[in-house]
Amino acid sequence: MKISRCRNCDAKFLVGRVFCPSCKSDAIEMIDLLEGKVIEIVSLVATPEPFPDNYSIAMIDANGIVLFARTDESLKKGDSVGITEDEFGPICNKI
Amino acid sequence: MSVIADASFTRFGKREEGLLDLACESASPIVNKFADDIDFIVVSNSYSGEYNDISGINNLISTKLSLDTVPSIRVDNTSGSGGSALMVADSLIRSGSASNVLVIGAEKMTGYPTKRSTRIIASLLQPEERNAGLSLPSLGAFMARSYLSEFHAPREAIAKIAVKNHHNGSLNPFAQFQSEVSLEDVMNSRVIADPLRIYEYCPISDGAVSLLMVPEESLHSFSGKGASIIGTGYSSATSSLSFRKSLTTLDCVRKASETALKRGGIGISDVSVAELHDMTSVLEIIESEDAGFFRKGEGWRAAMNGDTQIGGQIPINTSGGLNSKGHPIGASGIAQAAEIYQQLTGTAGKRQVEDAHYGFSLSMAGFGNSATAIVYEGVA
Repeated sequence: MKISRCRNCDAKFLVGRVFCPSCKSDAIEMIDLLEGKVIEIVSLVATPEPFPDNYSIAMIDANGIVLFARTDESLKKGDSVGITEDEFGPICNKI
Repeated sequence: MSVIADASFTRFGKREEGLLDLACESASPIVNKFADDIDFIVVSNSYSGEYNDISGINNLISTKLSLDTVPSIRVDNTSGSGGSALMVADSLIRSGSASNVLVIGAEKMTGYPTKRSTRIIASLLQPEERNAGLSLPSLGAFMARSYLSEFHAPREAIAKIAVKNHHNGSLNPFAQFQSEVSLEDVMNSRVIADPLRIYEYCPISDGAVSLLMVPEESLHSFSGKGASIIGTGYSSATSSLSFRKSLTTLDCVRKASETALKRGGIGISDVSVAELHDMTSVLEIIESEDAGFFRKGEGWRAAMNGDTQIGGQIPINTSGGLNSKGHPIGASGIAQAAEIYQQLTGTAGKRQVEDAHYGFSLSMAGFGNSATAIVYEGVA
């Protein structure tokens, strides 16, 4: 999946911004983020449209960047995961 | 200084009436008495477009109340709309731009499948986080897991909030749920987002509440007693969850509470009764810490000890909270103020806190995106 990187100060952040939250530069580029470690995991049985009826969401630390991704696997804290995207958004799988 | 001089509720719950009728049902008792005095209307509502196919709701309501030419605005700040609307009304009065403000909080959310409602509410999240399938209930679950792990709290402490708030709701004639639940009921109820269960989440609700706010010097022309707004605090935090340093502290709650108390000239220990934003049970514990009632990591002990029940050290959510009273989103922050008004004027019935003099409310938007804290003093 893609995240933002500031070309001026190298800050990386998930939610797209016009200006860097650290140095306020507008020189923002998109970079690939491919893996991370599970910080916390929550399984849901009441999910929003248009998502499936059951899944878990992992909170992931990817070199200091925190992000969320769906998974159908039984992950636990500390698991290393690969991050890709499906038609809805980010998903992760144990690696 | 502005004072809440009157309050009027509809019953919260699944209602047959439409949004405009609910708003007017709550406002009518006040308009009946004070129509000629009202010179501004502030409507707190967040989702009339998404749920009800209505825009410009403030003007539609003012006309139905035959207050066609009274200036009106709508305030939308998701779950924090009510606190924001109260801050706007207070500012209008304090600046002299208006004298007697009718504040109406209203929302109608039932009638759609839960999956659709969950989507509508999740629209307040940033797309990069929403696309992971997050819902507001799931954020509560992340928060609960972090809290239990960080502070070694027993799971039952969080469930006790639901037990207390359902008890309080059973004493509130306007609450959606008016029956008690036991700890066992809560712990055996259906999981919504692990580890939190259905009794620990607010329901989807319809309902409306109205207040009359007036300058303190003219209170004697109205009800003669009320809840004076002596301090407000408003604070915003990043809407990007991934950008927050902690899941167990809500910075906007901490800052808004500090500001409101400072402006009100009182300490948190002076507060007799508080209404917090318990969209889910764990939020009440974390907010009770961030507002300053308890030290960080100690709120769960207060919940276990019964310190926050009616008759305890600091009664919290005497109305039943969002958890039991219901959470018609635009109405909730106004309902908090209405509960404090009742408590400080000695009209809270079976929920009355003895000798209540200072009150506190915390209305929160998003999942900690912003918060309005308000400090009140009973006046007569």
